[in-house]
Amino acid sequence: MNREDLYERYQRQMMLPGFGEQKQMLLEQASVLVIGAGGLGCPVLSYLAAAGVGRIGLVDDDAVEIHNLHRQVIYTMEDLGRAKVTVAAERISALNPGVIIVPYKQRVSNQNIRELVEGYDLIIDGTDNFETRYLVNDACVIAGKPLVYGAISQYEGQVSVFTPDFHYRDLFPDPPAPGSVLNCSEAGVIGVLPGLIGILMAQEAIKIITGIGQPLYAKLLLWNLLTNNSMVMENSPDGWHPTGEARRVGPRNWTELEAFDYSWFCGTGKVNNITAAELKAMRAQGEWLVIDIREPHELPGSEGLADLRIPSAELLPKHIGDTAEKIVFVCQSGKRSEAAVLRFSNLLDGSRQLYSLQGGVLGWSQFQQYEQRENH
Amino acid sequence: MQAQLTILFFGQLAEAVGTGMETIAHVRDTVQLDELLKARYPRLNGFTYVRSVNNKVVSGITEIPEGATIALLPPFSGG
Repeated sequence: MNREDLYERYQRQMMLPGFGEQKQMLLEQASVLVIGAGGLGCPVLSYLAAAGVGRIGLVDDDAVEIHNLHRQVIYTMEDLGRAKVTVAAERISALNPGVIIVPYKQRVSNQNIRELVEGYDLIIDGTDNFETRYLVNDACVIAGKPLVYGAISQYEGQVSVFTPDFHYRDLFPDPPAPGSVLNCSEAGVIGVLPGLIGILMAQEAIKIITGIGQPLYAKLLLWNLLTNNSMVMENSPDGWHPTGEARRVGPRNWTELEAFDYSWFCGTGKVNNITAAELKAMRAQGEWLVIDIREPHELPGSEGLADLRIPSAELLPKHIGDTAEKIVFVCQSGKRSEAAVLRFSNLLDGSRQLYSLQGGVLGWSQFQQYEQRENH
Repeated sequence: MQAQLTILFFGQLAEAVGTGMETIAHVRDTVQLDELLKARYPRLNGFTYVRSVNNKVVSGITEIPEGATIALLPPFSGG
């Protein structure tokens, strides 16, 4: 970009005290990898591109769906069904043609993350599950790259900047029990929250690149949308490097990372999923017990689907009895029911077959509607 | 009498215990605190969380100063 264009486009930030042409050049020379083009990724992407970050990689394998639009504000009705990375790349190029945007329509895995992470100066984690968060963290630790972390739950958000000196595994060495922490599709989210947290993430990225201010190194910022309370937790001498206790590390090099089983680590693997159609077809044969493990207030109801409705936290083996040979756990979207399968595969003896209903009650309702349409 | 402690529960922990904040009588250290809270709220047993005492993240056995604010924070995955 020539000097004149540079001044024209970026004059309002370049006139800031402590943010002149030299800082703008740092942004232009920088490369940032944004993992996830969802609620957090959208604002991150928009503001980094608008600010003039030179090269932005974007990784996501999802397509735009209508329930994304209340919070993923760069997408429109016309984009439904299109790959998020393709749409995002178009929008960003229209916003700022000076930015090189590299779309990767893929899911990050321990097989492809090395190449992705090594190609950029700074990584941004806008993903939506623990497996990927541990994976992205471990890759950044091995590559020695700074990682801007942001995560949300219902009305609250967390932001931090991780380096090999202080990172995700120092804060949360053990992943939570499967199903104990819900993501947005399970627990709900109001659109402005990822907007706010994503902008804080973009803010941290700009600070790291340009060297202004104090990024959240070894600090965790918490934000509560309902109360407007915010809080910054800091590292302490007996914090994430407790005396007398070995620091818990993940894979130490790329070979270890490529062999690390993240779904096993997060307890999310090895669940038998059953689809609504399979359940309907197979229910006639043998003794089946279908248990809705959602909280009492959750809608829609599961009459005609579930034989029992007992919230996950209260469900015990005695409720299940010993007559049914096939047990299906059902929740809203099929996440918590996977966790229930894992939990009860330990609690019950191995003689039962345990399943999780894929897509949950929501998927079941859709299937019912589909069947009714077909029959008319 | 020693000044009370303020306990802040974040995310799904607040849902599990039914409040975002409560005050309790002083306890000596974080191990005693954990025991007390888990006895009072058995659902806390199923959670992983990080603890901070007066905004400093702590682990292991940490002494709790009088009148301290303690936050319990689960990891979030949403994005």
